Amino acid sequence: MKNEKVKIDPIDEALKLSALPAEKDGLPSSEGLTLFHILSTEYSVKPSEQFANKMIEELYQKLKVDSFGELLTNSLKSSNKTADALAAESGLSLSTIEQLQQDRILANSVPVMQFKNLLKVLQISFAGASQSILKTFELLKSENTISAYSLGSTRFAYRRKSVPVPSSVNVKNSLTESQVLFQNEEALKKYLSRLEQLV
Amino acid sequence: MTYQEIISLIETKNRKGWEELFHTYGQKFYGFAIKNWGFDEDQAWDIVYQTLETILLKIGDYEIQSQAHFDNLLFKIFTNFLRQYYRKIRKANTYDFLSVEEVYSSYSEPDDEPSLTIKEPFSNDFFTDYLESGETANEKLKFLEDALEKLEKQEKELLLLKANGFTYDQIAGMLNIENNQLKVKHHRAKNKLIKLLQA
Repeated sequence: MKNEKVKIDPIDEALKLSALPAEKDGLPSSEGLTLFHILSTEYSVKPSEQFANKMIEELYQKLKVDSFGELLTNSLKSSNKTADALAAESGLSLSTIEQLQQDRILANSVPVMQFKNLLKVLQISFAGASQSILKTFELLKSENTISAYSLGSTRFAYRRKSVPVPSSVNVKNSLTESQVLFQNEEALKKYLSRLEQLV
Repeated sequence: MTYQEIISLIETKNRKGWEELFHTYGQKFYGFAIKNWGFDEDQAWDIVYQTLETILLKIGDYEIQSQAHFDNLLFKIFTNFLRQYYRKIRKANTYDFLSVEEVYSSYSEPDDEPSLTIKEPFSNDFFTDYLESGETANEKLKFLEDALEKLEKQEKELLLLKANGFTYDQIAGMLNIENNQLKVKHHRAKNKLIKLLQA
């Protein structure tokens, strides 16, 4: 959109916004703007093949990796260790390990020395861990985006799959204020940089 | 490809899932963002990229029960990013809003009464505040939606789709009606709406 003075019809502007799906309505609507209208239209502007390949490849490289929770769970399985045993060897609490397994918290919510121990016990490389940690960061970020932009209100229409939560995880208080504080990209990058020096 | 097949490919981290998502949905979202909402190519890239990234990250978390359910979730995620980017570009641009008189005179017929002040005017400040709030429910828009409800279904759809940048030809196809006189019908519907807003 060019930076120039644009003449706007205020009623059309209000109609345009009002046609978007409303927060209150989690079910498909047959009125206003629908996906059918967008998908059934032939647009004179189309992304080039190069554009398409670039976007697909970027998204694929970024998201094909396992999240840290998946990596941790798979590593526990392949090393025949229990979460309890890992807790004892790494110095982390069982609850923290379970939250990491479920991608409920980021690595930098955990003291870096103990996190280093965890990688060492499970023989996870820094390169593999860092990619997975970044994937978990994207997962948590998208969680915030969805709730901030009203998908949270569509819970009835889009029930989350029920994931068993271990008894040691207090769901209500699982994210403390300090954990949320550290879940930003800059803090994570600093943490990863420190972790790389240690491993 | 069905939605189950797409989800299954994404869950098994098969690149075909990424490709299908882009070709079926992403490129249409791109065309719509540019042609209908006036975003430039870079902005459209960002909107589509973030939409697909969120879908790829989150789709496995929801219990999707049907194709319509799947489509509606994708549509909501897309329109959330559309709204979010629209807010950004509005901040960076200057807008000149037409007065109600200007809008009315362009849609009214010669024997119509001269324009009156509408009860709940939509000003630049209103749109800025509304988009900043991140809320979709709003009292003024509710007033507009109530007025829309008093129109014929076809008039309402015509107004909402035209305000969302579709051409008369495209709207005729979507509503399965003749294009003949659609422009006149649109002007009459707009005129009728303005009168309802004055009530």
